[in-house]
Amino acid sequence: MEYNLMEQYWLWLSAVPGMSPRRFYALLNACGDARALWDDPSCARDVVDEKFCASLQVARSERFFYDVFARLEKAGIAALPMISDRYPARLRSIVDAPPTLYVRGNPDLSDERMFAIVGTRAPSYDGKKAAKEFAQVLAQNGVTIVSGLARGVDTCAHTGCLEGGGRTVAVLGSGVNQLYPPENEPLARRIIEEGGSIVSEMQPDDGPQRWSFPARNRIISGLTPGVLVVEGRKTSGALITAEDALDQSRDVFAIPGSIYSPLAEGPNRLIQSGAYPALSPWDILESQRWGARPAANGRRKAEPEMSDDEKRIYKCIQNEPLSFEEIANLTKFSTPELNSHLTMLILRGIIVKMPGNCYRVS
Amino acid sequence: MLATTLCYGLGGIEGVQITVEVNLSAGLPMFDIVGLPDAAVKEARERIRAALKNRGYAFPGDRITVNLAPADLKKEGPAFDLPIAIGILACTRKVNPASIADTAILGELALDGTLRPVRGALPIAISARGHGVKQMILPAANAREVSCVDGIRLIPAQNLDQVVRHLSGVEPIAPIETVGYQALLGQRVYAADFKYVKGQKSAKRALEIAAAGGHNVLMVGPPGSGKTLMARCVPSILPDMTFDEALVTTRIHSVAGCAPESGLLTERPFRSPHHTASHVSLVGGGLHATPGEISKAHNGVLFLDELPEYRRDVLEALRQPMEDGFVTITRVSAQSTYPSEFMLICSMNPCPCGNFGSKTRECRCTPNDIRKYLNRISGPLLDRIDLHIEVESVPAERIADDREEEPSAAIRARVEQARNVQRARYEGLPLACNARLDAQTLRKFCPMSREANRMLSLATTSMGLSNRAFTRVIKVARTIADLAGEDEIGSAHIAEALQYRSIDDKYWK
Repeated sequence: MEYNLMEQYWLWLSAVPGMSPRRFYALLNACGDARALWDDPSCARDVVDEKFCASLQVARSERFFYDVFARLEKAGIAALPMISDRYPARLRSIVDAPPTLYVRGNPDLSDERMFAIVGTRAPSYDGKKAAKEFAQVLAQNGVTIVSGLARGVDTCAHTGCLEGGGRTVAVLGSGVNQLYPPENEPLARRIIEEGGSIVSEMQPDDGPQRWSFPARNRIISGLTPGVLVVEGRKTSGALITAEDALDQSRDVFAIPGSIYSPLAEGPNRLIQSGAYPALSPWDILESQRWGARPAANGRRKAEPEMSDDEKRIYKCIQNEPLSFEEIANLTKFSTPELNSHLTMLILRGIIVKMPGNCYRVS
Repeated sequence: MLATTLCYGLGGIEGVQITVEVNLSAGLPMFDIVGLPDAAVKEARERIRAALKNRGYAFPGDRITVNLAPADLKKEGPAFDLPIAIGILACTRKVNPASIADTAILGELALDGTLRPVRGALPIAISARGHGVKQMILPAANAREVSCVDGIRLIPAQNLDQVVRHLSGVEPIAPIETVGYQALLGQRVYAADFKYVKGQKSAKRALEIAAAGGHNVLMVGPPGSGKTLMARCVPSILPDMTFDEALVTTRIHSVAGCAPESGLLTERPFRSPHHTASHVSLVGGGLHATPGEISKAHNGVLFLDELPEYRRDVLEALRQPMEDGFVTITRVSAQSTYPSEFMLICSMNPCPCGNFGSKTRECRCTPNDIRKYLNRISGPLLDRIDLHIEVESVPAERIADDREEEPSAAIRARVEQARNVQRARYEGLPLACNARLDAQTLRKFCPMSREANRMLSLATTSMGLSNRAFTRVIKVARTIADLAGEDEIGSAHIAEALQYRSIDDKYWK
C-alpha cells in the first residue's frame, strides 16, 4: 500500500503509543496537522498531559516512523487514514470517527449496500436462526454485512452472509492481529478468503480492552446506513450499537420477540421507542430501496409429508420445543416407538434435537 | 521331633499350598521361623507362645524351627498362626500327628487362644478343594464366607482348644453346612430399584438396552437429574450371576479383604470410586499387588461419577483392561492377574456449570469453557462407550406423585431373555454379549433388512456418522433387536439406536 507524505505523518501520529481519537483531534486542532507535530512536538504541550508528551518525543524518531510502515507491510495490513480517499465516506461523517482504520483482507470499505447485524453473545436457537437467515438473504441481494466477530449473533451473521455468497466486514474490539474470541479464528480466515475485511481502529498488535468493545460499536453503525438488532438483554452491548446508530442518524431495525423472553427485551424496547420492527429481511431491503419483496405465491408452505404417528409428534412440538419426557407423556408412545419416530423425523430434516434432550421443529 | 501341617497363602485370587514344618530339637530354647516370612508371620512367635500358655499348654523349652515351604515364596499375613501352633502341639504329642494329614489349617491367634478371621478364606477353600484336601479348619468368623463351597469338609473353630479337641476326636466340630446358590439368590434384596425412579423414560430404556447387551453407558445431564440414582439401579436389572461368576467375583473381594458378610456375592457388584481415585486404587497394585476397583467390579458395574473430574492418566489406564477383560499387576513382591470384565457407567454434566441446554436455568459457561471441559475425556475412551444418553431434570411435581413405575424385576426379565438369545447365538465363541462384537463378527451376526441398511446410509451422510459411531450404532441396534426378539435388525431398531449417539455430534464437535 502506498501512502503520500501527509498520510505518512498521519499514520505515524496514529501509531504513537497512548493515542486515542479524542487526543488525536485535540492535537490536530492545536497544531494544524500531523506534520506540524513532527516538526515541532512542543505545540502538543497545551492539549495533552506530560506522559503523552514524553511518549510523543520518544516516537519522534526516524526509526519509529519507518517501523510503523514496515510492520504494516509485513503483516499485510492496509491502513486507511481519514484524510485518504480510501477512507469510507459514511464513517467519516460521524462525530468521533476513528482517525485511522487498519484492515486485513479487502481494504475497500465503501460498498454502496452495507448493513450491520448485532446482538447478544448467547442467543437462543431462534436468535441464531434469525441472524443467519437475515444475513443470508441480505447477502444474496448484494448487501455487505457488518458485524463484530463476537460469539453468538455476530458469528451467525458473518456465517449467514458467507453462506449467501456475500462479502462481510468484521469490526474488532482489538487489533487486527489479535483475534478475539480465539475460536473464531477459522471464521476470520474464511472472511478474508472470501473477499471480506477485518477492521479495527486499534494498533494491529493491541489486545482487547474492556472499553474497546463499546468503542468499536460506533464503527459498526458508522460504516452502514442501518443496524439490525437481533436479540439482546436490556444491558446488552447491541443496544449501545443501536444508540450509536441513532446518534449517527442511521436506521435501526429490531426483531421483535416474546415479552417474557429476557433476550427479546432489548429489541422490543427499541421498537417501543421507534425502531423499525424487522419481520423479514425484505423489510430492510425495501426500506433501503435495495430490492422488492418477491410476490407471495398464494399457497402456504406445504407441511412436510408424515405418517399419522409422526404428525402426532409434530403437532406436540409445533409451537414450542419439548423434552423427550414431555412428548412421551403427551403422545403416549412407548419409549422405543417414540425414539424411532423421532429419528425418522430428524433424518428427514423436519425436526432437530437440541441440547438437554429437547426436540423442536426445524 | 518333626510335624508337618498344611496351610494356604494367597497368590492373586488363587490359594497357594504351603507346608508348615515344625521341628523340635535339643539345644538352647529358641523359636525361629524361616521361609521368607514377612513381619506379620514372624510375629506369630509371640502370639503362639502367649496363646499356648494361656490355654494351659506347655510351651516346649527346646529349639523350635518352623519352615514354611516352598521356601522361595514370600509368606505374608497372620493366617499361619494356627497351623504353626498345631504343629508345635503335634510335636509335643498333644495332638496326634496322624489326625492332621490331609487337613489344611488357617487362622490368626489372639493372645488368649481365640481365632480371628483371615483374608481370602473363600479362594483358599476353593483351591484346597481343587488340591484334594479333605478337611479344612478355619476361624468361625470366616464360616459364612465359605459356606457356598462343597466337596470339602470345612470346620469352623472358635479357639485353639476346640481345634485340639476336634483333632483328638474328643469333641468333633460339625462341618459348615453348604448353602445352595439358589437359596442365596432368594435372600437377595436390592438397595436401589427402578420403581423408585420417577419419569426418565428415555434414560431407563437406554439403561435397559445397555444391561441387555453389556454396553458401556455415558449419561450427560444437569446436576440433580438422577444420574447417580439410576446408575445405582443398574445392578438390579442385570441378569443373575451364574454360580461360577459369583465365585470369581467373591474371590476377588475376598482377596481384597472386603468379602460380604453373607458369604457369596449374589448381587452384581456396584463400585463407585471417588473422582480423586489414583491409578493404583482403580487398576490395582500396592505393595502386595491387590486388586483395584475395576477388578472388584468384575461381573458388575463400575460407575464413574463426574467423568471429566477424574485424572486423565487414570482414565487412560482403564482402556487396556476394558479391552482385555483382565489386568496384570506386577510388583516387587508379586505378580497377579485379576479379571476385570465390568460394565462401565459414567456420568457428567454437560458443561462446568451444569446448565448447558437447560430450559429453566441459564448456562454461564463460554464455548471455550465447555470445550476444555469436554476435552478432558479422550476420544479412544469414548469409543468404548456404546450408548450416550441425555438425562433431563424431572419436574418437582413429577417426583412428588406416587404413580407406580415399572419395577426392576420386570426389566430384568426382559434383559435375561435378551441375554439368553445372545448366549445361544455366540455359543462356542469367546463373545459374552453384543458389546464385545468386533468388525468381523459384526458382519456375521448383524444381518440387516434392506430398509435398515438404507436408513443407516442416510444417517451416515445426514448425521455425519464416523466409522466408529457407525459400528456402535449397529451393535446397539443388535441388542434392541434381541430385546424385541427379532433375528434381523429392522429400520426401527436402527432408528432407535441412532438416538443414543447424538451426544458426539452435539457436544463433541
